[in-house]
Amino acid sequence: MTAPFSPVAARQTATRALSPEALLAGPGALPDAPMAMPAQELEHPQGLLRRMIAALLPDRFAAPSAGARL
Amino acid sequence: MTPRPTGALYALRGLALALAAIAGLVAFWLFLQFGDADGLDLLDVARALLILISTLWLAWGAVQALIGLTSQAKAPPSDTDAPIRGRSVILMPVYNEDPTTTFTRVAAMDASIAATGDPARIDVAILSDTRNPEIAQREETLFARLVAERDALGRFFYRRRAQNTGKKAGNIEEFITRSGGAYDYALILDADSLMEGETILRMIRRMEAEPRLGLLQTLPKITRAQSRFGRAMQFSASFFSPVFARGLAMMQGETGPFWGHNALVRVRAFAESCGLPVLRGAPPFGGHVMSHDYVEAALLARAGWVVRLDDDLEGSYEEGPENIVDHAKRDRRWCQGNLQHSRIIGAPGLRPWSRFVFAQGIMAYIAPLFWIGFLIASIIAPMVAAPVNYFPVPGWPFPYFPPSEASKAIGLAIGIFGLLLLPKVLIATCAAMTGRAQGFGGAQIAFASTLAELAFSSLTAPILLLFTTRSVFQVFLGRDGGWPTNNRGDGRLSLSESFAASHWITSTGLIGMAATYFLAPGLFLWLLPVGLPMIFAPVLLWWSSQPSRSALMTTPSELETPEVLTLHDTILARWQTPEPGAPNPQVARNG
Repeated sequence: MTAPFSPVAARQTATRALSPEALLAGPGALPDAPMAMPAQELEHPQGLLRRMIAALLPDRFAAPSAGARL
Repeated sequence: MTPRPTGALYALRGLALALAAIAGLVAFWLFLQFGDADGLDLLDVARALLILISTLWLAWGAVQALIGLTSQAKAPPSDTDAPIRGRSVILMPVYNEDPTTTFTRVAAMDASIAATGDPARIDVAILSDTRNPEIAQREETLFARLVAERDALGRFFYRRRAQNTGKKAGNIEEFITRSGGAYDYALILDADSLMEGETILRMIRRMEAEPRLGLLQTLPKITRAQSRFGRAMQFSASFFSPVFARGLAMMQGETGPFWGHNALVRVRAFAESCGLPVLRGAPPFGGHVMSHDYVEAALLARAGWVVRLDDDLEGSYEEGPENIVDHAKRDRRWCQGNLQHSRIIGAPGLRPWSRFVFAQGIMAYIAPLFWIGFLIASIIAPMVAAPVNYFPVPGWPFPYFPPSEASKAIGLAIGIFGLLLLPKVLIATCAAMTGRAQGFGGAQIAFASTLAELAFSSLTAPILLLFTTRSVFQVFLGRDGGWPTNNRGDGRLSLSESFAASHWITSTGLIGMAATYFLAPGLFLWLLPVGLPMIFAPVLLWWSSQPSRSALMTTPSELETPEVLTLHDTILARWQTPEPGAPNPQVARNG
């Protein structure tokens, strides 16, 4: 008596024939579909104290303007 | 695209904050009145401030529950039969867990999805960060069995990172940068997660119905708890948490939470918004972001995506710690992660509610310090108080007794206990009235369980208070807690293990009660409910880790096992029995 053909059983047999290494290197490996994941800004470049001091101090070190005195 | 909170939402938030602030200020005023009876000193003001902060925090939780009781969870509008167009993947990060238990969970969820008959294709990626080579070898072997059993060649994937940089967040990020382009949606799980197939499909449909939705969080229920501690947590998570979560969902609007698992993300939104930088400096405050989930939710909201908690969704499960020691270990990690958020709370562009959530997380861990500060200040207060002057008027022959303000102190104590007890009692009452209590063994058992849970949490609270305080000090002192593997399973503690984990709590309790007896004998009886559980901490740890078969703390999942749990039990039992004629995996691998 011939067992009825089952595609699922056939696939399962094929899967079992693969060694774990072959499976992981082949059909079990993650798909290759890269997507960019840029790092987000979570911290200010300067700490809070520095920013507060900078906000309070006059802007003495700014570059001279290219204004009326030229 | 950026969603804006409506006026009603702002009004609700304002009302909740105002109610909590009023409770805190009343406590502050009552304590000042009490302290003023014998003349206000600096310590009285300090204690009043500590009471203000602590009461405000307690009241905030109570208000959340009260708001939660005013509404029912409702499903958002979406077509429940719409064909799923997007490509989805279930991400199961693992880290030294038992692969048999973990992989059979994957098999159960896949079987549950298949049982719905829905043609949607959902892949699975097992993302291993396992460091133990023996467990890693078992993972590889069992992955082959999983693929064969679920007929999932080309649909199930496994990879193990050489370095577990960035822990779980790094694990997910590595997947997205390598394979994210293949998927529209990713269901992020934990190794102990289980979700019904129907729930997963419903989540995907809801995300397809709302193009602004970046993350959809479910409210996972704790299941399979066996111990007294585990079942108390399970009952609390099933009976009380949904009401607190409802209150939270009503106040957060579209700036919802991410709890790191049992949540669906839109892969493009997550990739664009949630790349986490390494914070400047060394751990615990610098380095990789530990509690990444809160940060990712905040970043999604910052980028204009909706982050939503759909608390109407059932069929989402996780497991919890079975004893206080495991709970404290996990809490140590969460403590460090939440305190690290103090570095992120000022991040540019965050939504105000996201900053508030960070503040809440930090407060959850530093609140015990305020209570301990209040207790210590109260014990030493009699030492520094000026002696009462019974003859304030020179030459007057009769003593003057200052009016007692003890009634104010008693009123304050009743108020604080009310804030602790009232929400849970109200939840039990509402559950009895609405019929929800039926799932918890009926109204009487649910009410008795509520009282038992209150008694149990009162006993364990002083112990947890000290564990949390120690964690906070460790973080402040710069000690990195690392990333220990979660213990999953039995969790029964012996008396010697309990003693080893908590003898310092016993010592603290003994010293504290002795100091109270000698320095502030009037407080001795008042502080016994705090001191005794500390002194008997080893016994409580041991007792609470033992199996419980009581009718109390019954939950719906105990009365009727959810389908996916039954599926998992069946598959796990099969996997734990060697297949007849199957080769020994170890031999097959090596030869």
